[in-house]
Amino acid sequence: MSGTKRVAREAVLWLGGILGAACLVSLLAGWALNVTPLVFSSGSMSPAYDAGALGIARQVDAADLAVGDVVSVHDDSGARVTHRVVAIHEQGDGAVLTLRGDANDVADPQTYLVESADRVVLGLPYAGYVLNAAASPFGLGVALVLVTGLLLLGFGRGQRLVPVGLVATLVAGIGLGASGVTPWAFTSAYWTDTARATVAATTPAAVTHQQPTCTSKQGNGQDKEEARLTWTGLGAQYEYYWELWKGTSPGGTLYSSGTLNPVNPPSTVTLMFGIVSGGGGNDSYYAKVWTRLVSNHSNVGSPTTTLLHSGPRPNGPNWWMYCGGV
Amino acid sequence: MARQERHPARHRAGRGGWFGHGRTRALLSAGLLLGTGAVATSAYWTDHDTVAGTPLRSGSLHIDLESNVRVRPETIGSWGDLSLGNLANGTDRAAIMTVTNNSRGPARMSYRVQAGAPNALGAALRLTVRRGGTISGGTCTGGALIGAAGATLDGFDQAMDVTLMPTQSHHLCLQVSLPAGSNLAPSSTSTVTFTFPAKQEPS
Repeated sequence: MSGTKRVAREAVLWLGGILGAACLVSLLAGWALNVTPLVFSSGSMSPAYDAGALGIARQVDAADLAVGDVVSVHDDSGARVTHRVVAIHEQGDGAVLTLRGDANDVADPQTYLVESADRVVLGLPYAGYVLNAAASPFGLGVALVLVTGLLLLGFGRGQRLVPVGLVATLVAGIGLGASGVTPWAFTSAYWTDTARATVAATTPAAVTHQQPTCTSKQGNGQDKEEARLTWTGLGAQYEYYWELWKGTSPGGTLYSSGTLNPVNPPSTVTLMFGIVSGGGGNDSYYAKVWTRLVSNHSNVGSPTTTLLHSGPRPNGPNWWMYCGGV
Repeated sequence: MARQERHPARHRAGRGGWFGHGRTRALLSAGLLLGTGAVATSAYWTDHDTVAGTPLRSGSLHIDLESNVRVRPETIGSWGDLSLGNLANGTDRAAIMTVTNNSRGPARMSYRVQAGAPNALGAALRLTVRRGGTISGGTCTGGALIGAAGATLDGFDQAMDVTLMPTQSHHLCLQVSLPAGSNLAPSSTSTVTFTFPAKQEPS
């Protein structure tokens, strides 16, 4: 073997040995110390951890977490999210965490209930690219070729151990990964953004009812109809308070009063007064109607005034109202 | 000459046995395959949303309204398209809100539609959201209904049914109604706020 070949062989063996040992040590350290290397696959923690950074996270109890820590947790869909803690609310043995990416203006849409979390204690820029490349199909192929070559270099062509060892290693690696015990993780550390639009809303200003329409028929015999005041309803928020006064507007004495329920347009409100006792013929009456708010029974605007007079109803001896003054 | 002859013998004697010729290093290097295999499998099987070997994404996420481009934080103080003044009972008002993913980088986006409004007027308002709907006489028709029609506006919070790729837009028809028979004081006021929180999704 020439000197150059021997140096190359030694170099490749040392390289492979160191890389392989680093992998094994990181696996063992991960299990022994609860340490998880995290590859940041997006930039929502920029600039502290850019996309491609490798973070080293250590599992800690929820009670040890503080606002400002960068933690890695699983969201509702099972994906790993690594963001900074902006609020902690203790809940039983665990804590409800509100997280926000440094590059995000708004917190994550969900909160995370955790009993423990992986707190990032160290970040290595760009190192994640190496791990990402190594875990790609191409990277796996390169590793396979490299390890095959090294095993052949180390053990020689004749060894049946080489293919067996390769298969065993691959099976072991896939088994470790599939069982979920591998202390490595890719973390999405997703971005968030929000936008909002506001619109001012108002309801119409207060309104009052129109001047009531008065209808009545002061005919002969049975052909009579008492006064009927109608106006268009203003909606559910308005009620109507009325007063019937005996005398000449604006004086006289209050004869009766009452409140009418809300009516939605275009239906109409109807006010009738019924029998009045002691009408004594054609006395003057007048009706005042106020629009009121249902909410606080306060009057809106001025009342309307409708002039009325009393007159005999069919089959006397009582009286009721007819439209118009005496 | 003598040194050259002795050297291989000393080398072999120093390592000796089965582990000579760099066999330790060769065995250790298998750890590389073990590690990468484990990481790749783990990424594919357990973190199913994230696939190792895909490009690591840098960029930024931007959800924009109307014709805005990468405004952050974005608040349209008084959205002119929707007029909610002088709302009488039984009134429907509708407008189209354009929601665009203006992210840099391959950032697929999911978002929610949230609405809120204070006071008695806000509590009375109803909201109907139709993605791709059109306005017909103050109401929204067609498209995909998001959530329930005529839902209570205050506290409305629905996920959009489909995600947005960069440069894509949704046209959301937003219909705000004040039901007939609402019992509100005249000149009641409220401020309706539509919020669109967006989240990056794995591409």
